[in-house]
Amino acid sequence: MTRKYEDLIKELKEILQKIEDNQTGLDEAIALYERGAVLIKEAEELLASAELKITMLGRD
Amino acid sequence: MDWYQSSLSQEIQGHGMEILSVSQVSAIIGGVLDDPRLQDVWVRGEISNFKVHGSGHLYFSLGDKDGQKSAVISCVMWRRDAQQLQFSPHDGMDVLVFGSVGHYAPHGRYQFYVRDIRHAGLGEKHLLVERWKKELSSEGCFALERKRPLPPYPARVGVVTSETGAVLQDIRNVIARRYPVELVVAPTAVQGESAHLEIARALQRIDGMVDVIVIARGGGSFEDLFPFNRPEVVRAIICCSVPVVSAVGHEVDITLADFAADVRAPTPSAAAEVVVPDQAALRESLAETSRKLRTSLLARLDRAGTDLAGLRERFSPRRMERRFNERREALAEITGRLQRGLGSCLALERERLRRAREVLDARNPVQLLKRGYCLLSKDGKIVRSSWQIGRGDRLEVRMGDGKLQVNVEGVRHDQEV
Repeated sequence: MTRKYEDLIKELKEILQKIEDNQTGLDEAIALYERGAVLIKEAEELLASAELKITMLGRD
Repeated sequence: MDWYQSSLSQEIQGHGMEILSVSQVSAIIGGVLDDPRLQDVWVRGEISNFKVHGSGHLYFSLGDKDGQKSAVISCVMWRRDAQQLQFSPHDGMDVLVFGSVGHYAPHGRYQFYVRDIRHAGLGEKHLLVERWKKELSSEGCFALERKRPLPPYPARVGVVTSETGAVLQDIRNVIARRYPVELVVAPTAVQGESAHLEIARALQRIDGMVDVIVIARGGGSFEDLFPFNRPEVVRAIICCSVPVVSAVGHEVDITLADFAADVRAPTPSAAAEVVVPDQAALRESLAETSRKLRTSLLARLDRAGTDLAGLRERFSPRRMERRFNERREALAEITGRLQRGLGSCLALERERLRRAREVLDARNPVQLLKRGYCLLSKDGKIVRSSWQIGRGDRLEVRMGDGKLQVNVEGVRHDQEV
């Protein structure tokens, strides 16, 4: 999990807001939806690829 | 014997002296010991002959440490107070006891009734912590404005703790279950004389490598947790460039490190839960977002369809014709209303004018004179009454078409008729 996940979630929220807005054109809404679907898949892949890793720092 | 005793009593009383009963003496001793200097005092000494009675009461002796002037006081601590102790006293322990000296008449002995026991030396450390707390607080180390929010999705979590022991395992387990991320561990001693310096260095070492830092230690005595009260650790925490979550000791133990941290967790496991989100909740949230995306697009499409149907209806030929007809009718109606309105308006004005002229005509004095009336004036003033006129007056008569000069031959007023 990274800053990337945070960015994905942020963009998804913006997309939702735009689609719900009546001012957004139909073409744009459909394009936004397609982009949203891609982002969700990416986020799910990020979740699936997470694994525990332990790095032990040396002492002084 | 009886004779001897009674004669002795008589002799003593004969000297003016009083014979006391044991109870009386005991009462006096009790009164003497009830001295403010012996009540509610702290006494330092070493424990010996320590015994826990079956009832739960504690009995021991308290003696001065240096064997030279050996003085000992018997002590008792009732069960209710003993239960409050955070540690088990034992022989040889250097302690501060708090309580009062009292006299126990049935046994004819005085003892120290203990209400609290502290490690000697520990009291000084408590005071030290209080002093540090004040100093660091006035420097703003614990200010709420300093507290930073935790990153919602950290990629790397730093852990400053002992590399052995349950704390690291607990944190590891919770993070593995909730959301596996990279753990970067800066191992350090967490107790001992120089632990505070090691902890501060571990914080400096790990800062900049991770998104959030957990500083943790398992439960322990006040002395065990003492390094986490040291200013070096407090300053190292507030110097970190990323937020710090503290979990030191049990929930009841609060160290200065806890005050300095951005978030204080009650236990190391709780700290691990705070720093990473729950994967299951994230998945659920993603699924929810996906559903919302779909429904909002469908709703958008639906609105587009409705708009289109509306447009189509508006542009149909029959509807256009109907609208033209509507417009034409409206125009005709307005024209009619205008004309009617204008006509009635003119008639009204004409009538008003005619009436005005009639009124004017009726009031015109020339018209009246033309109808046969005349105006009388005397010395240029109009005469309105026969009483204004006397015989021989000279008057002017104004008629519709000329003037006369007349002389009055006689006046007859109406009343005189």
